[in-house]
Amino acid sequence: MSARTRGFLVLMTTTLVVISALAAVFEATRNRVESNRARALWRHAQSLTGVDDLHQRGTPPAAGSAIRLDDGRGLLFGSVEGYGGPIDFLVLLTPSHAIAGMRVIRHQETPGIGDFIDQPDSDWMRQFIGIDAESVHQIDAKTGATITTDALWRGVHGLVKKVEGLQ
Amino acid sequence: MNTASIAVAGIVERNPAWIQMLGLCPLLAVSSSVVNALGLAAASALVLIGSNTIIALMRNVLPHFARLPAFMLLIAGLTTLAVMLMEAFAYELYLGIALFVQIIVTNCIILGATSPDQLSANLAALEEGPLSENALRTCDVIWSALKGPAPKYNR
Repeated sequence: MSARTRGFLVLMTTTLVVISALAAVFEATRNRVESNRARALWRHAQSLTGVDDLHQRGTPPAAGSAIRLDDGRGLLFGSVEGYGGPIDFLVLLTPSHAIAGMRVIRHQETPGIGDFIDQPDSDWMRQFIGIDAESVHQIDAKTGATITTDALWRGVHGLVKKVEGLQ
Repeated sequence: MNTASIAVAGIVERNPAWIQMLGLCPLLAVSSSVVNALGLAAASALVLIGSNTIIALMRNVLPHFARLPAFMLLIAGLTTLAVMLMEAFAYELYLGIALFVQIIVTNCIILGATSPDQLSANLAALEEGPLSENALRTCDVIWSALKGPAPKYNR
């Protein structure tokens, strides 16, 4: 066998082994990962809304849906494609459809550039509070993180519009 | 060189982070707490030791030209594996450092030169110059088929 053929075969075998190992681990850990994510999501939702029995609702609703809280506020579940992958977020709406709070719960944006979105108390994130869906685009972009900020504008705007349309 | 002096050299004289000042980005960004620092250290060790061991075992069947791709494949695979395991079994740690663990891939290519041969192969690959016209055109064709709704950014 020539070195070329051997190299090709070894590389193909390595690829297959690596992919199978990843697929096996993905399957084996799927349930655990999902319950970890659900727990983290409810924790964020509880700190955002101040309602502390949300986790009793079990599996969180899919992105693009919402739940109405007892006091008339709406908790919206969203996901939008960012720079490095999906950005999952929550939006809390007042009964008059103003944004009362916003929380990014999961993202893969570039460390040091796009990851400012996971700081809910930052000045930038607080700009979302008190505005309605139409004003979201007036929030300043962040230098160097155009895609990340654009994704959040689109995500929040689209999610609020969608949920308003469902009513 | 005996085992003890190799170990000392690895920890002190040839420590990439300490002496060569390599791989500092994830190191400094993540070492904000002992748990995060140890988590990143464990993930790096898993990927580096795992990929080096497997490459060493494959050395005799792997022709020279296939070493770099095989090494990259193994490092990328093991890094993804480390992130997946972290997400399943250490979710808090995952939230804190997962973004940085993926930087291990680049670090391992630089730090993981297991032999002078491999290092010079890496350096030689850097000097190969641009890809051929033909290869670039093929890249464009593949990209135009795959790009879909990808945002225009730095492209």
